[in-house]
Amino acid sequence: MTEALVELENIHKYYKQRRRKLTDKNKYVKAVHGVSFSVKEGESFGLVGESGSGKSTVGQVILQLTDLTQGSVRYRGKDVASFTKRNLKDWRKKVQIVFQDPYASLNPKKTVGWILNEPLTIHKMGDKYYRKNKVLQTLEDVGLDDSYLNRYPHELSGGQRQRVAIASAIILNPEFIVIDEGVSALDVSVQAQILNLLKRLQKKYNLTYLFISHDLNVVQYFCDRIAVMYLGEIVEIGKTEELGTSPRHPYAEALFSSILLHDEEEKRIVLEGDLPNPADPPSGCPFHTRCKYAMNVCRVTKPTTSFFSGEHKVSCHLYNEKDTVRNIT
Amino acid sequence: MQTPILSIENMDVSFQLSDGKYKALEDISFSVFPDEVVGIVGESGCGKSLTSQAILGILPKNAQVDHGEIAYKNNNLLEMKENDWQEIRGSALSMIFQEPMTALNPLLTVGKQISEVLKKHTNLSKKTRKQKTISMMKEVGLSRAEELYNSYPHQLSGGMQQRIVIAIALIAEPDLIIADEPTTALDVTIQAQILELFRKLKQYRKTSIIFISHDWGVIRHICDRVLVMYAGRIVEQGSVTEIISNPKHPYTKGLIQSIPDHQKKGEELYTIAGKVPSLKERKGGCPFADRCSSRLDICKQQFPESVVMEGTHTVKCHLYLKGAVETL
Repeated sequence: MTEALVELENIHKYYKQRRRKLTDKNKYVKAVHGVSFSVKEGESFGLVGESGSGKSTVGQVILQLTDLTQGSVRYRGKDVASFTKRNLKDWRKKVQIVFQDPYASLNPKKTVGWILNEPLTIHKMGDKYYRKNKVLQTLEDVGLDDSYLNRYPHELSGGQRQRVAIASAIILNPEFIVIDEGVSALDVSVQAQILNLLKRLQKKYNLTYLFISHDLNVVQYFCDRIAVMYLGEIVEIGKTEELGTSPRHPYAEALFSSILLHDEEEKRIVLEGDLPNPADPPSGCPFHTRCKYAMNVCRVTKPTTSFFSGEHKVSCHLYNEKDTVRNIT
Repeated sequence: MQTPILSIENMDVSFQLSDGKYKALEDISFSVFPDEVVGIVGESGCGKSLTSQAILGILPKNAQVDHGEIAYKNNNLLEMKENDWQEIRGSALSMIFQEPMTALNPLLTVGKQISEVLKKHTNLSKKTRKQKTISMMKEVGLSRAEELYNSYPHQLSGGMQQRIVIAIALIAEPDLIIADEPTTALDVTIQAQILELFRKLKQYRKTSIIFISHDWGVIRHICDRVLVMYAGRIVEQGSVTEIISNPKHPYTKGLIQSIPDHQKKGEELYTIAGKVPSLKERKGGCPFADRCSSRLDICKQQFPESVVMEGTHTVKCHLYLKGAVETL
């Protein structure tokens, strides 16, 4: 059994909303609301959900790009919040992120060579020759050659830009990389190249990925375990094989039925309505407003988490024996 | 045989750039029949959107149709004057764009934006226009239409905005709608809702749709027939089931094989080497030759003729031309 690299415990992240009047009460958007999971070393962990479900916030919380309202993030058993400034800087080398839009995440005024060299300079890694070599070697790792050193981001295609973004993430020899919608903006054929590249790098450097995406085909292909988020909470978590083939939570069920490629018509479930406003979430189970199995208990109390086999966990009243009024076959 | 609503014959479109003229679309021919959904797939830069712009006469200023014919119910659209165009655009042919937020005017209420189409194309009174607008909004699945009539685009969610855009496209009851990646910017569950809406439209209104997408899942779900475009040419076309289960062109095969799913877990994904050639990089011969794994000598010299595989399934590839089969 491999050990947990990153552990999240009861993470809450609230964003304060601007008050309209001086006498108004403070209002909060509950972007992440009580999320706990752990990512094991060497695995690819997928986080799926609609926009506004809080999946990107979880990624940012892990990397300390935004501070927590409540809860703790542990890295190799140590609480990240307890790190001193120097420890924190060291730790930042080990955790990296790749964003969705490489157009926005690469500095348009700098060359590829400069972009890749910068993290090495910031962390005072080796001398000039070491850095130069490291940049070339990393470029090679992501399938580019030294002719790219003096090019600017606007001269590259979307796929090449994403390769540069990946290169700048792996150049400090990290252990853990958050890929926040890293392949969503790419064409299928390019997407396949980038996914292959990420797999290859994972094997070569024993990387651990947190893969955030809304594309279920990609997540099912890429990840070992998946967590499904809805309105800031994890509603279901489990191994890809179990969750993908037999999702239990009604939301996960609808989500996975919308993968169109292999499904027959009858099996598709079309959810009604939109994601509720996270500033004013529904009472009880957050999903009850769109759930076709909603019972009275769902509107009042929040479901607890129940286990299926092993690691497969679901938060839904349907699977909580005491609550279940109807039998589910 | 039915008469097509729209038929395009041998259309070429080229761009006038500072250093010369470059062909962006070559020899595009296809027809859309009543009550039919035709999909167009291909990577970005293959000319999918340009094709739809050419049909609606909204090409960029430096692009022009060199030759060919676009016939809408036996009128050649290319010979039409701008005033006549205005009549057709929005009422007979209409368009749904990818980004609902940029397609809507942020300063006008959504009700006004929908009824504007009626104001332009019909002589209805203000009251009837409002009634029609509200019933249209209900038809596209906006339940509180009366309240939403006076709201602004930013007050609505992405899915609702896209429904408004669809309502604008539908209100004048066009014969043909061109939908350019209408679900790409939306979440999966909202995407499923919008696709369901398109299916209903097809069923009840008998509207023909040209559906542009790079998502095979969406294409399979909604289209009857599909055209595969590569570097400005249609390289393969046929019924959706035929193309997906039995693709012939190496490019189509590559596209379909590179889709990730759980059955391919652990395997290396198939990739098509290289990228789509830009306008200036396109040479003679088959544009896919440089990326093709089953390339023949002739591919670089000559663009292949169209070969009929089965029924409506045609492919443009030397592999299926008679001479080539013998050499294999």
